[in-house]
Amino acid sequence: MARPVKITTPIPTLEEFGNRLGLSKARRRSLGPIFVERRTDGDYAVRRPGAERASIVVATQREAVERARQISPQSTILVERVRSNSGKGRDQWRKP
Amino acid sequence: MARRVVHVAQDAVFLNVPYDHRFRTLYLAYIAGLVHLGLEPRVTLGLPSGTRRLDKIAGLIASCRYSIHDLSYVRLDRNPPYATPRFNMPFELGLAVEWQRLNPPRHTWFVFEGKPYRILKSLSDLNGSDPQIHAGKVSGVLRELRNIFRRTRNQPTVPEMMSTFQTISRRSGSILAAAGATDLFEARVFEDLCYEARGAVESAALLKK
Repeated sequence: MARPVKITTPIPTLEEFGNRLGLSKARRRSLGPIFVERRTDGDYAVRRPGAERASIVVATQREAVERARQISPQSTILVERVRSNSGKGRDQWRKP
Repeated sequence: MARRVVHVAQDAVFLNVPYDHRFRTLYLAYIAGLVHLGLEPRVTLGLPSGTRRLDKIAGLIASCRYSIHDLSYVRLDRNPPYATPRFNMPFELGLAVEWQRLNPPRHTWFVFEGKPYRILKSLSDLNGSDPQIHAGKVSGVLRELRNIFRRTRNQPTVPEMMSTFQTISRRSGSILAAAGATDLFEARVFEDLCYEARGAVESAALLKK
């Protein structure tokens, strides 16, 4: 077996990686995971990573998850936790 | 003559694999595994053909800190006019070997094979350099990538890398459709797969928190 090498370079973020690949914003929006987030006014936004604006804003989380599935059926959907009874705060994510 | 200074990307890996639909699964495994390890795979897809292609390939190898050469797909190409083996991949391995000989700290190459000892026959000049044996399996590719690339922190497990592989396999159909492509071996599709793999790694990390 060949001798292993030690990797010391930092792991790039998704945004850095996209920049290095030279992907346009439009292309990035069609790829990667989709986030369902609660907004401060109580409704729910469906958003791609790095996107400033939400793709869709709807009234309920369930509807937001359904719309996210319609936008990209194969993508991983990450739903922001809105309850903290498990000790996990709002910054935690779960699968729908 | 002025010497050209080549910038070496320390996390870039030149991926020398066959562009054949029968190699599709292992191709996705290499992309998933390397991206999960925080590395950036680079391939010759999208390079222009013609006499300058060789210079571009040599430049690509020189710009990568590592290279992986998968010689498991050794067979005759029976397309006319003659049934011949294709020598591009061993030739590119030769370029990488020479580049490392001239610049030892700037490049490290690895050979992957499907069967143990076969390389002793197919490329006996490499006797003494042990290839990584993946046995033609996705888990074998991921295991061997993990064996050769070590991170002191956040070293992924094979099941974690397998999950990234499954995500990009699942997404490959829609990536092909979006690119209007018919096979995975196109430059645009390759970039999208890499990005999707990075997205899968980040999603998994967020869910683990």
